[in-house]
Amino acid sequence: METSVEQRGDVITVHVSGSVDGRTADDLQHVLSREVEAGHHKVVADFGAVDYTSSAGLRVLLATLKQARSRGGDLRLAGPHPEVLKVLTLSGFTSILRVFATVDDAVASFG
Amino acid sequence: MEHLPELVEFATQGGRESGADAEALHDIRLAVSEVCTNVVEHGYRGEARGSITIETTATAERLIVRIEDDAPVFDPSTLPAPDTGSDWERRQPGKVGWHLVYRVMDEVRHEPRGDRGNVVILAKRIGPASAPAPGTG
Repeated sequence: METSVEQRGDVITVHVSGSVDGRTADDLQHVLSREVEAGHHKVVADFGAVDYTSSAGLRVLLATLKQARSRGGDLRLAGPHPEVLKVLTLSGFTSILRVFATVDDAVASFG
Repeated sequence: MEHLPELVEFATQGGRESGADAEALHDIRLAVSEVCTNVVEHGYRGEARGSITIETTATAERLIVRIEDDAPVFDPSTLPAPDTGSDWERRQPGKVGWHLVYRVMDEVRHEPRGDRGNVVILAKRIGPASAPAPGTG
């Protein structure tokens, strides 16, 4: 798994590629937490290049979502593959996490 | 945990050789990853040593994945349901892994290996059997 960070206005986009599982989730958690703790509370996780996530990835998304919202921001997800969206849906995450088709849509949703 | 990719790849390779489609392969990957991660994190409590053995068997209609460990006996069917409905502030992340295993596989069976050790048997329909069964449409 690899990550890169892009800032547009006050929205941070973390581009993620590869697989998010029990082996790589801690690395993603570290990157996302670092951004929120640095004061970037509006975060987009770009999953457009994520081919797979397990429940370990869901834990990271939930922890970051709570962290960002508790500081007045949000975590929003962009571009998940159908397989990743299936995992989100089966675990009830689509009721608490806002999901967008593209990064542009997710960034624009912050207004 | 560093061997997780090899374990998952072994199981999904069995699926590929059996002609499983992309969705079935994803589900097999997810289920095997979740089971093995639970064995390492909870069964072996993150210790570096501890074995996991995977065997795959394909029939004309199903791929069977047998995952064996030496961890303390744990029957996943005794787990309470995960929290999939509360709002974000109260949402707890635990137990989602096994929930996903049960949701994406067609059969999940646990057998203890005497006083210590577990066998988890996962079955996934592949090929024509994934279509609706005769008489149900």
